[in-house]
Amino acid sequence: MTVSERLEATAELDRWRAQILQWILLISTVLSLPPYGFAIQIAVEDGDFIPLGLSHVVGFFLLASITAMGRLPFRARAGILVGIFVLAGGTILARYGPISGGRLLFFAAVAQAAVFFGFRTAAYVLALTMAILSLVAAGFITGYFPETGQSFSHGWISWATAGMTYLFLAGGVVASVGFITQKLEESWCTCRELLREVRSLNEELEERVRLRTARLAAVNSELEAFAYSVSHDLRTPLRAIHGFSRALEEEYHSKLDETGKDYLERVIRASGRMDTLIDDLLELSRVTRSPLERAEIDLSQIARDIGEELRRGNPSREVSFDVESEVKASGDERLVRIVLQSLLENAWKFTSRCDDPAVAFGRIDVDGATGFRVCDNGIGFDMNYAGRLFMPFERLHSDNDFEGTGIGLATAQRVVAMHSGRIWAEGAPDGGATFTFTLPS
Amino acid sequence: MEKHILLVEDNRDDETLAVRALEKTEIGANVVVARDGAEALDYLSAKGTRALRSGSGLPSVVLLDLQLPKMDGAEVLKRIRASESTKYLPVVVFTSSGEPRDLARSYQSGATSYVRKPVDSDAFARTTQQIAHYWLSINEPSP
Repeated sequence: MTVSERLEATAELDRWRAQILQWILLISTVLSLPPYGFAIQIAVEDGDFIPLGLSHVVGFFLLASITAMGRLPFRARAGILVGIFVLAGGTILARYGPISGGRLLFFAAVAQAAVFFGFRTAAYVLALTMAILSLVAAGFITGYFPETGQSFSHGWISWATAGMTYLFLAGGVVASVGFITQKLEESWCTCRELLREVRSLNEELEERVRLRTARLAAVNSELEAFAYSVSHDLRTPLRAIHGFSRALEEEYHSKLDETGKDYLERVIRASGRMDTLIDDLLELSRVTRSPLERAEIDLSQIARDIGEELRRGNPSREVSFDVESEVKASGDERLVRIVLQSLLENAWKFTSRCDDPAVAFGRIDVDGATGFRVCDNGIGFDMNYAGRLFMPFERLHSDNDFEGTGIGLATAQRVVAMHSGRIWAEGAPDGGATFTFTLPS
Repeated sequence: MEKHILLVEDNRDDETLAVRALEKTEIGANVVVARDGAEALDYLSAKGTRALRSGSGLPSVVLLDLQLPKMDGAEVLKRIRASESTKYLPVVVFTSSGEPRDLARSYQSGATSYVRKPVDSDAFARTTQQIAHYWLSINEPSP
């Protein structure tokens, strides 16, 4: 027999066992209905509690052993419990109250059957009982009808049925208690199991978080080391290139023709550009790695400071620099400064060919939220290429016209993204440019 | 006793450029070059082959690169500061790196000053000359 076959066979067996038990219960219920009330009534009136007690005890142990061998369905147990309570209540009422114990117990038994086996079976029980009662009324069975108040002979039938009822009830008590404790234990075990699972899941999660954090830290420190290496190891040979080219220019210029001087000049310029590129790349990498420290920052002041720096670096240029006052926001001051630096430097740079260069910084409403804008009236750009503006190394103007590495805007975008904001640009060729960004709080 | 500068630098290109710049200064400073930390310390401590320094005394300033073979610049700096004779010797850390980590470490190890080597050679020359001028002409050394 395979495992599944065995399981199926066991399940079959269980089902049969349950069925048999159910039949036993059904029969004993039916048979015990009428004498129920009678036996108790008599016992109570006659003060004859000993037979009652005896049969109860016997029944208790017998049915306990039967039901211990199998499982009763929940309904069975519930029904038994109902029976017990009504029995007790009925006894009291029969003795002291106006209602006939027998009649009450009759209804109790029907209710019990309904709970046990469903309403259909309850109807059968009802029918069967009515049949027995008719037999009693017709005189075929004596002493069963409690209403007439006839003297009742303590026949062995009534004892048998009473005994069976108690068997039934006792077993039900045991089964119910057993059932309840079993369920409690199950829930307890399930609870414990679940708790253990949750705890181990938590531990697993925490371990995973620890690993991820460690890996992140490792990656970050690798990046840092890389940036460091870039910073130092790339610059040293670059310095040599620049230095010796200049040395060549200074000491051998008499031996060089125009082309030679031009070549040398280009070498020098290229190495200078590479230096700026390294600086910009390092800044981009630093920006990405640095944690965000939010505070209330004064953008107007930052813009004014940058304006001052630009003017000092280029005192010959006359640029109208307009900064709206009291523009405040929440963000990392150091990082936001980088954004404004990039935007304002660009505005400054791209208005260099303007007759009347003007750069402005201020607040603007963006769909109900506060946005910040830097605009200029410089060379502008073609909106068709607006998408490329913020990508590293992408440039919309040739290097000869305007110096630049093309990283400034990529860095600005990275910072704005770190603040969960947006940055975009509008412009037209020779029509100036406007860069807008948001810093959601 | 002629004033001179001790340049601790292992890179030949940087050495040539620095020496070239320093030779152009008005003061006409002499440059002694040490290739690594051990050489530099030997020279300064009057021990070993460079001992006696041919009677020229301590340099007016030490230009110290951080990236040196065997012993790194910060370590050299600590040892210079540990010795009684060179405790107040002006040491200018002269390096490509601008990383805050290096800055912190250098000052913690006892650097007098920290200067980033510019890539642009004109700036490099100017910077080197300014350093030389300051420490040789303007600064008053400790007795």
